[in-house]
Amino acid sequence: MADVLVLEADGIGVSFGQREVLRAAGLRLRAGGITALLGRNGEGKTTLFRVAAGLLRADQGWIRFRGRTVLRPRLARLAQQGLLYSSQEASLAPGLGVREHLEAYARRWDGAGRLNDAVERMRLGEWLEHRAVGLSGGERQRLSLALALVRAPACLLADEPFAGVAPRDREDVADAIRDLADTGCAVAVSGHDVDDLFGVSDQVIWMTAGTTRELGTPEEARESFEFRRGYLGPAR
Amino acid sequence: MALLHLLRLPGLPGVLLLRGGLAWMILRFAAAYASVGIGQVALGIVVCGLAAATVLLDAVRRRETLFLANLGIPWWPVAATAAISAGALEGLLRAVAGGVGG
Repeated sequence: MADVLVLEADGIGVSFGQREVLRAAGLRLRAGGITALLGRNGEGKTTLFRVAAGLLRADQGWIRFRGRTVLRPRLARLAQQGLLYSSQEASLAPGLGVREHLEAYARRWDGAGRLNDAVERMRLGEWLEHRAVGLSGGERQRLSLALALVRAPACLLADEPFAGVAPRDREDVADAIRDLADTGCAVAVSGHDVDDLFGVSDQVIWMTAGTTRELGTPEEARESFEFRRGYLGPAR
Repeated sequence: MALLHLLRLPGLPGVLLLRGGLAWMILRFAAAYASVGIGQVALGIVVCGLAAATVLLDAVRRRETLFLANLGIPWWPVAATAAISAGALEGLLRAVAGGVGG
């Protein structure tokens, strides 16, 4: 299962005016695999995710999803084929309630049987009657993950799923990501928390200067001299 | 099909219908106040179209279109849902105006 490519983006180039944000960037996500996308702020992690999710048109490059080249990527169409783009900013409607979010996913994606389990695992029971706008960053992340558990997607692009999550909740988030991968979901997670991301992933991609470098496993990434010098810093 | 998927969701369709009706009312009052000099049928179509566009822009601002995109629902059913309530109110107005006039 791990050799089946679910999402493949290659040669992606994006410019905003004169500023080149992505330059020949790529992403290859395998079924059942978890890929960590690391990079400093402004290196293009979110932009690459948004291109892969069909939220932003690339100037160059191509995307294949589940074996088909996607000529005009659109999130709504990719979602119908199994993609879920998850971020605390993008995947929630602030005015809707937590229960409405979960029930919408359950109804649309036949996830009623997974709903209670998702609520329990992400400990959202006490927040069900709250609106998403009133949740903290960490609670929004847990809701985003709960939606992913209800959706059971073929591919999950999770933008900074550990951002704002309290230390005691991080293991819940990591477990949810691992469980999704165990069902065959191809997962990509971005962020800055090296320990969390390395702990959950089996492949590491480093984004630097708008391009991507596959570093292999987290152990191999730690041994990369350039990655240590350019991202981890001397302390690690 | 996408419109049906949206209408089956909990919460959001009612909110969009309400916003469509509210936008229609504001635009209709504005048109009456400004004494827009085009035919009543054309005015009705323009007001309904503007109401739908206003609700769509508001949904984009509230990131509801992104939420819906993750549910496999594109942007146009949002505008269509708002147009349904605006169109219904416009039809009601025409019926009442016709009854009063006739």
